[in-house]
Amino acid sequence: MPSQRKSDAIYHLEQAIRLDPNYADPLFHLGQLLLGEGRRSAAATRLQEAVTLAIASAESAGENAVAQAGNHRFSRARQSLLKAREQQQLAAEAAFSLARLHQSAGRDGAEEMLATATVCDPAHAEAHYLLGRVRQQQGDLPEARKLLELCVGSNYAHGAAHIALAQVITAEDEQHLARNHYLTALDMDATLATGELEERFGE
Amino acid sequence: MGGSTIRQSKQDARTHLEKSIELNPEFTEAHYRLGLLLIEKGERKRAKEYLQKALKLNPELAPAHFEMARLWHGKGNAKKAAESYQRAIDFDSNHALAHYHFALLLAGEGDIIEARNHLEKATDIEQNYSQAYYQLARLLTDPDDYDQAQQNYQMAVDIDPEFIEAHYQLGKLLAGGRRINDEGTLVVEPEYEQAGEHFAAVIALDGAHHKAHFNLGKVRAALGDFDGAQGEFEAALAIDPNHAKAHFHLALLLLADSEAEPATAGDAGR
Repeated sequence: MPSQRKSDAIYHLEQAIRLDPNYADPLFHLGQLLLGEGRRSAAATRLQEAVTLAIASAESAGENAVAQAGNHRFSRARQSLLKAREQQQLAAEAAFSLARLHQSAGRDGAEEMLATATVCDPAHAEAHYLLGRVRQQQGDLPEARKLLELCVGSNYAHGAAHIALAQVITAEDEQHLARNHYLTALDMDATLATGELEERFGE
Repeated sequence: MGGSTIRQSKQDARTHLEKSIELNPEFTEAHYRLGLLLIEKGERKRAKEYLQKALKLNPELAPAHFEMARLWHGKGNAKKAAESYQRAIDFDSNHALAHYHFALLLAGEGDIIEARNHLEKATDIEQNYSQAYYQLARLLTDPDDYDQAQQNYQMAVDIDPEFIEAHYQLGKLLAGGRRINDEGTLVVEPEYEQAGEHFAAVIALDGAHHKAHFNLGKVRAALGDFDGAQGEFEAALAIDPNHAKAHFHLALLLLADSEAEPATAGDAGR
């Protein structure tokens, strides 16, 4: 059972959504809250709405920035660009949460949402990692490698991504790169992939 | 003096001005004064006729150009208003009101640089012109102009400590803290304590200012005063129950608090 404060929070989020149907932030937080309470279907609906609205809001802010810059109102253009960026990041977070929800429920749509998260936030390391893993499992190793490289580009300390990268780098002349990724992962966490390193490189 | 007495005095003034013009149709001052009186009474069309006559008699009468500009401005004729403001300034470069209102017109037309120039001129001429400092600060929205905007809002509230909108906008500027630092980098350095003081000043002057309550709530939350923040968000919602952002920020506060709540607190409902 949620506490009184949580119930009050839900009430206020619902009020915010009712009063401003174009306000993506409360949709995202309500989705997260419902997810935390195990109300997955309701959470999925709210998160999907948050993704759609945040993307639309980011596009609108971007168009406004262009118009303001065209009128030499650069300060307003900058504010609109910042808003567009915030909304893109919100869309990415909502899409990522929704992807995880779809994945855990074994439902379709996870890949699409992960892709949305990576487009909306090109620095979203975890979305790149999960999508990279999906491509790896599908056997699309070049695409997997590209995504995993973007992941470690955003978060070099992502040990699991280094291991996955080592796994997708299979070319004979690139084995040193694979080995480096294993070693990097081990630097982050000594328990990671020692077996794989030993098996492939005898270390 | 009661309202009816003032009305009677103005009626008497009008009668005397009309009589003066009747006796001396070339009496510039009488035409101008009657024009002003008619503007006050809302008879703008007739006012314009008297002002135009005054200007025909004395084309360099800056106050008459200014009043004509205000009439055109009020009617939405920006081109004619701009011409008249410019003439008022040409004939009296120290006409602070003309600089101020011309600046507002220019800002509305998107000519921010010229608007700023005229507002600066207005404050040079009339150094206690709080509205001009305020409007100048409103135009200084670039992070590069942060310090200048702050100084101008501060001047406005120093001159007029009861200037609600200046306190409010200064609070927002300080709470945003978006500025270009000495190295030319955009930084966000909110000055929450000071911002809170200005929002509190707004509330002291107008307890029903729901936006000030909302912004003070955000400032208090940022300073870690969650109970105070909750009180402000609730005050904002008590005044305007349709304030979507206040609902949202109150929800975030409640969520943060419920996450920190010990498991045993359960549904006790604090």
